[in-house]
Amino acid sequence: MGVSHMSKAEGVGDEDSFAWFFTAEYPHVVRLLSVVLRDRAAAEDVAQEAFVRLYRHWAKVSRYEAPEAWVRRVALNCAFSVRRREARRVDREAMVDPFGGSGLRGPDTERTDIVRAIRKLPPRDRALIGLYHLEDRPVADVADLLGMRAGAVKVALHRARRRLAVLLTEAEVPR
Amino acid sequence: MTDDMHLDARVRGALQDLPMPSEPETAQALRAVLDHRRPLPRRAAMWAPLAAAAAVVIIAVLIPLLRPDSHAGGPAPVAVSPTVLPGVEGTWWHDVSGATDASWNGRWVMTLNDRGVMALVPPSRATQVSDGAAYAVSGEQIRVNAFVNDLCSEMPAGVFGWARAGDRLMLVPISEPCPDRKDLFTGAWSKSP
Repeated sequence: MGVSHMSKAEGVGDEDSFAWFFTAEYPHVVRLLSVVLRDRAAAEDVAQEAFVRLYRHWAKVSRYEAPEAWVRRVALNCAFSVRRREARRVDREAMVDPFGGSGLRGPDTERTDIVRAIRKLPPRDRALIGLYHLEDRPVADVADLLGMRAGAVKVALHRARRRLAVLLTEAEVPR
Repeated sequence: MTDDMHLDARVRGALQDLPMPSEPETAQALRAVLDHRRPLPRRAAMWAPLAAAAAVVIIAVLIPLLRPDSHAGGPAPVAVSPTVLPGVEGTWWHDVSGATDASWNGRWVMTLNDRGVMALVPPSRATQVSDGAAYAVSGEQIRVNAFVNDLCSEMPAGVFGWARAGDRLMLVPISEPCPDRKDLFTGAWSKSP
């Protein structure tokens, strides 16, 4: 991340500072949302929606201590809403290769199994794992972003890790 | 290394390999956001093609009725394909009646500029106003996100079928989860001089 301090740089116009922030943060927000939403296209849609909202409030939010937290909070709330609306859909996306079958580097099967297992967790657990493991955020930050207490985050992370271990064992047994 | 630490390392490694948007994709997304454009729907619902087809049929039936020179008993007018008609840009109005919120009843004026920005002027008594909106036309469909910050908060943009006939613009809902926005936009709009 590392851009929470950027705010409005001196002498830089609103749109320029927003563009700078967007370029730095958008790819990370899409990747985080692709953990929560399971689907890259949906992640891009929700990320753009969150950044449109950010742009509307940029004059104010850019003065916050952590605008990157603001946009993630909005993006995650949008993502949770999307998942609630789509709760009855068959979760075919969970079976889609999250790496698009491109084979970036090996062992492909293991990382695909891991991401598929994560995508079988509830949305909030996926957000926890995305923020904690993918973005390396401290528990206090994760708690703040998700509106939870730090103790509850630790408990939820522990439970998510246990569920993940079971899911991974199930995925690996047939091989 | 404990089992937990090993699992954490595997999870971290797998997640960090997830692809991120490329620089060109990010630049394209930035342009869309700066234009206040909402992304075009990539994950169309399975029924969307059927709804779109139904909208086209409805438009094809209704457009002749909207023509100023249409009259009962005259020769049957030929339905004009929406794709060859002029665009949606311009200033349009229509009168709303029977709205749930009575303050919405009255004349609404909608301006669609050529950069995807929609401005809505509600009746003077209206208590809910849009703080600016975006629209995007894709073939015979128009996507609008008006009231996304209040009445239609947390809802995806609405998708309408559109067609023009002279100084009339017809909007038919295809996928519109927001009831207020659906009621407002659906119907025939007249071109302002």
